[in-house]
Amino acid sequence: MVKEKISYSQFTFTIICYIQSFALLTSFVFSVSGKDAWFSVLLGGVMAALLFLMQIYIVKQFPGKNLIQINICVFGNVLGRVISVFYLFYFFSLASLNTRDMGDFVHSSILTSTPTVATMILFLSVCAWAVIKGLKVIVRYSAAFTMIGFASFIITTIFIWTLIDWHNLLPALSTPPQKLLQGANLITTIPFGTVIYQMLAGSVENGKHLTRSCMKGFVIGGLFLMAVIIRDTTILGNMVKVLSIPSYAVMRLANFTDAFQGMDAIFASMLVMLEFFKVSLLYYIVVYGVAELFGLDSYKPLVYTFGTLIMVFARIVYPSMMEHSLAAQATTPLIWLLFELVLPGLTMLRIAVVKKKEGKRRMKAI
Amino acid sequence: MIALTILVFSGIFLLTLPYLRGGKFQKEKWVFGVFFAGAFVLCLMNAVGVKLPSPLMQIDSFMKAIGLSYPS
Repeated sequence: MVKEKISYSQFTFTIICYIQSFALLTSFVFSVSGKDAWFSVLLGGVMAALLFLMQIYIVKQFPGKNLIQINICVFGNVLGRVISVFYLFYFFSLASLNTRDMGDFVHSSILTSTPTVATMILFLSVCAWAVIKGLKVIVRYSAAFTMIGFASFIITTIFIWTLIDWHNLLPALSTPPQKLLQGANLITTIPFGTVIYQMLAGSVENGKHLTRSCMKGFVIGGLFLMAVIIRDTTILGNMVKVLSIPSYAVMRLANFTDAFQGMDAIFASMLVMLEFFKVSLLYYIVVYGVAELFGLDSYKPLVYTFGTLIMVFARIVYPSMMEHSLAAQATTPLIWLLFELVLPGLTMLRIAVVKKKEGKRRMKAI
Repeated sequence: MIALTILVFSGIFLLTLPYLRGGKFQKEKWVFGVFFAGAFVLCLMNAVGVKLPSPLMQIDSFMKAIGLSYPS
């Protein structure tokens, strides 16, 4: 299959954009860690950085190869493909969950009388169009999306500056440690999703800058997430625990005189834009991965069919936003650890064993 | 809803056809056929109101049953 190449700066912006889009789901971490969510982000960020370094190490052992090819190289043709199916299920679930989140957000805040399914069909149609055009087209706009995200964050924060009360962060670290760790686990697995980049790393033009490019994107995206969490906490205080979309609630408070209102509309557009980027990327990864798994020459025949599968899965995945939020707090971070930590850990272990065996063989030959 | 599903899938089939033309895409045709049929059946079942089980909800229940979950 033809591999499209992306520049390392595009890869960096892709990582930033992917992390930024979590601004829609901050309620997951707020409902666990409350106003100490910033500490969970910090802790989760450090844990995710370690996972990131592990993924980079694996990718560097197989330059130019993606996750599916690496699995086949490491575990063999059969087991490698079986493990790849698990990973593809993970990416497929993420694409469906994010589509559902976007649909629920639009239904609950902007187009309240439009059925969620109509919004999701239109949204996935645009995503399918982007996926058909290829990875280069999807990531080409990541820099623009990131800049718009930053600009919208800065502008809205200026407008809301008078409502910020730094005392809302106090008393710091009053949340029980187990809750902080639970929040950190959630942050490590959900917004950072480090294994996704293994599917893209093989497409980066200059592998030499891979570590720097990854870490730059990771740090900038993480700082953005931290800034959003701190801003929302300083404005909403303990209210952050009960709101379904805290950032959107903050935006509804942001008005600059009577003539300049509607900050929530800017924020909603930004969130839909970032979700479009995230779902398109995951959608591309799923169809590309399936095509790779079956050894096809092109992924394009599968694009529209997988769009309908993502749609059906998004409809049935959780009965409501509340159920999704509860699962995201209780079990999802642990399930996702299988893909973010356990499977990559096994890959690393296998690489180490093979390297050791090769070393012994060379020694014997000498 | 059933008519809409059939219409959408006819559209998908027509849109995908250009990518499957020619003799060299034999494997693509098979893989597309299997996924297309599967997706069509699932969408049809969803359209007629059959309650499809959610794999993630099943995994959630399993994790809770074996005690691998955070307290809510």
